[in-house]
Amino acid sequence: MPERTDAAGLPATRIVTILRYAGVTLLAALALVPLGLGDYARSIVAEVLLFCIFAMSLDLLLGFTGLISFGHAAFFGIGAYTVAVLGAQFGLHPLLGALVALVVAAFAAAVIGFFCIRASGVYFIMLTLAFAQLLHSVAFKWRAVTGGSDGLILRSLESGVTTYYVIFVAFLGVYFGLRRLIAAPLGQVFIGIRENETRMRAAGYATARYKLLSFVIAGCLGALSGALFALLNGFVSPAVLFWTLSGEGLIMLILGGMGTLVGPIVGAAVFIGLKHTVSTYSDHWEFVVGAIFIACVLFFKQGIYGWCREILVRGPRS
Amino acid sequence: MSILRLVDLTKTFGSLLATDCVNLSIDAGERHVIIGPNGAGKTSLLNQISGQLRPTSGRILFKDVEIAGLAPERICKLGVGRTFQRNNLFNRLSVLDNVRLAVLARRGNPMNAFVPMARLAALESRSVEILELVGLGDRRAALVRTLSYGEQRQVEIAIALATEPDLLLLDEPTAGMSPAETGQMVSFVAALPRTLTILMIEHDMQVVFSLADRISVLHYGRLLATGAPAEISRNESVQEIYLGTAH
Repeated sequence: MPERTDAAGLPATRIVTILRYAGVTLLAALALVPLGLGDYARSIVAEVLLFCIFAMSLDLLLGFTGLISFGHAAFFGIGAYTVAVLGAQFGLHPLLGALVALVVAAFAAAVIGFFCIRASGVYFIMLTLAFAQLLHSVAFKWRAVTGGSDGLILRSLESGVTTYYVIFVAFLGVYFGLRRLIAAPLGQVFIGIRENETRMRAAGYATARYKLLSFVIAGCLGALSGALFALLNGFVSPAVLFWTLSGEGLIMLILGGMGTLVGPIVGAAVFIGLKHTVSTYSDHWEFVVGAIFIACVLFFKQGIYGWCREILVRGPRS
Repeated sequence: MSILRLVDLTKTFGSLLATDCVNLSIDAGERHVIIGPNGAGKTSLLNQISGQLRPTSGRILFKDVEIAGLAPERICKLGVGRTFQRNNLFNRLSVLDNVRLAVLARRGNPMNAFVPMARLAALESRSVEILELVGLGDRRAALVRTLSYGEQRQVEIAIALATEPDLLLLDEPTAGMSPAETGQMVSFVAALPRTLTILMIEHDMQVVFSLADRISVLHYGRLLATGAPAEISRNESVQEIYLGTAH
């Protein structure tokens, strides 16, 4: 097969190398963030990183397994509340709380997933939404445990820098872990289900089992991002379970481009970045994000990252 | 010895009888072709055997095990492989990946989440072996959606063979193929080992008569006749269906 080249005649492999160098540079910069940035900027980078985890976990479901969940906030919230409740009620260290959160989320995802994967298409979307809203109202009403609409305040880690590195390491772990998983047989099975579930079943795959597994892994990682959010914020309220957060996850994926791991990272960075920059100038930051979102859906169906990659590999469309 | 037996198999869609009390027995190693006009219920019959459709009543015995109503993946694992009438592939994946997914289900560990698929040499060499068998060895890197229609039909067969079936169901394997491609497909199917039983649906009478040991004729869901090609071509009611007049 002839090697694909871009408009400038660069071979595709060289573009991969360029992207790889860019990635390594970015990771090095992220590792050095606490040295160069103040408290506020560092906490924003940390927020971006934890939402990257959230978006990547949702992408495992949506972009790789083809399951459109509109209730991913459920797991974010489970993670955040597990850390907060265990910390506030039992004085458990937040990092231990985060580990417990993974177990709780795995269990919750197995139960919620058991019901949801029985449905497909719109029904799957609605069921995931319903479960998430159910949890939201539990957090809202069960004041004795969750503090209701007042939320819960939790003990933070020794320093903001420590929190940053915890989030950074979690981000690295999730990114490289998922990259490994997707290249491995299990990830390829997920992709097969996304592409053609009927064919997978006819080839001998009990697809329901794999969809549930994808749901559980995504749920665990979603909970991890929620737990890190609680760690970073020091405060948890029912907003972490609200459907708008599920929607924001979807927007991040569509902005950045789903079906890749870099796409959700780009999407989360753009979304959180816009939220913080535009909101200092205007209360209507959602309007700006909305406009960009519409542009993405209409003109860049592969998302920002997909579009960039296309241009790098094939050259700009004439 | 029969490998597949259909006993009083019936499938209704509302008031429509898609399969009307069909009784059929297929011997191990046989090449059995089902013919019949459009809407005769041929694909519905195949779909019940491979589990995409659940029969309304009746039994399907594969190697004397009841498989009626089982999930497609269970039936596949028991040894029934199939191709689809319309190409039903992983269009955005490479030819190799299409076949490798089926090989993985049979010979690998799909739960492996750590070792990259590309490093599992046994899966790859087995996939390439199957692709070379169907004549797509040098097309392995191409995306399936960029293949010609005939090549895609070959990928269909490759995936079905990768599930290592004892009974292979082919739903119109030559549909939409050029005469040259049809000829290749016929010699390919004819060359498959006799350890494999083949039940196929086919419209092209030349293909039917060059491959079939026995032929079954389906009409409005009913099994009109079963027999050797010579018997079927002499059968009056069959002639009536196909020619519209009694001779």
